[in-house]
Amino acid sequence: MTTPTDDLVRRARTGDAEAWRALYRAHAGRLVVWLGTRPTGDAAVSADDVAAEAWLVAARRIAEFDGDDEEFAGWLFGIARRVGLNLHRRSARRGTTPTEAPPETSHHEGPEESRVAIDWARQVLQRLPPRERDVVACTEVVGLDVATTAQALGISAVAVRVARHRGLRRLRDQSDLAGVRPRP
Amino acid sequence: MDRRDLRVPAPDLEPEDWFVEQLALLARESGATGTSDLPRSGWRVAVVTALAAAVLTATAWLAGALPGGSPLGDPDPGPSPSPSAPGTPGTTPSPSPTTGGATRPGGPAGPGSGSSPAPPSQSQDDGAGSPQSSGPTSSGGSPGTSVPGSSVPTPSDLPTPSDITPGAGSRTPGGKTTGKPSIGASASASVSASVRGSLRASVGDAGPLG
Repeated sequence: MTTPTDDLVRRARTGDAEAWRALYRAHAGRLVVWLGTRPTGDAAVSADDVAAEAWLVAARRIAEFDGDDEEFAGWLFGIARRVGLNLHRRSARRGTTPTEAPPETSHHEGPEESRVAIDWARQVLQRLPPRERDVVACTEVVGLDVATTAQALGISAVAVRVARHRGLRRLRDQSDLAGVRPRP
Repeated sequence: MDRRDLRVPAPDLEPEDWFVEQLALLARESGATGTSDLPRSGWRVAVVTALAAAVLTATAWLAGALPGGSPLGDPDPGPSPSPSAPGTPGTTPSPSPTTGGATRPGGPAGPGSGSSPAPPSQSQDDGAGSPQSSGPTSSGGSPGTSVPGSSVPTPSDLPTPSDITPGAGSRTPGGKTTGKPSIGASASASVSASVRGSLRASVGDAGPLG
């Protein structure tokens, strides 16, 4: 905590293992939660798999990244989103058919409460269009700010605000989710 | 389902040592390859330079081809001598031809004040045929003829050159300055009255426009 986050990114760029460990501790949990709310399209691919692949891609391309720790979060989430899309396309080419109850829902080795929370959030977000689902997952489920969400999803900050507003209003309009409210 | 918030607490995940080492190794390799951007950028610079050179070469070739065809060709025909002769005797035969056909007629205009309107009409004649540029230039000679005819200076000047185009050949041999006046007069005399009338009419139209 005493080390500035910008210094973490700089050290990670030079190949410092401890810096990578610190970055992993800071972002891996949120990344897995966020990926858990997104459908992978392949029952054989879990959120952990996508997250691990995203970390490896980030390490390969860290030399191209020029930003601080906050921007690193959005950059990492963007990589994970693209990795997930690639996996989805690959599974579509293979013709893999997802099951009704994907086994990926029972993979997580974290606390059971977190697993239940992710499943609940995923059920809620399934009722939203893809764009609104992604934005609400970033802002409400994971807690990313607007700028980081925009960077992660590859859209503008205005589009993030609009999608977030529409998504939350859509959730409020549903009777069984009347209690859902946006984060302050 | 009475949750008040969609927020899911992020679990604290601890990376495996081998995974961290793998990330660090990839980052080092990324940094090493990152320095290899120079050759890539150098390659791009070379391509851009080659393209720029090709564009410049093509432009230079076109610039040499297009202007070289018309202007250089005009001076050779020898129209220049005739035009310059009337205005400024034997001053500059070659320069006058190129621009002389179009604008320099004003040069000949120098001799006769009334010939000022003539230049525009001459330019029109020049536009008709480049080889006939001698015609316009010969108009320079016509001014000499026009001077005698003070009543209608410019119109007479214009007709005579164009009609005299055949006579232009005789002029060139006649010399640049001295032979011009007499030749111009003889040529104008040889022009038929009908042609001259038509030319005057056309010049009359052009005059007001000018």
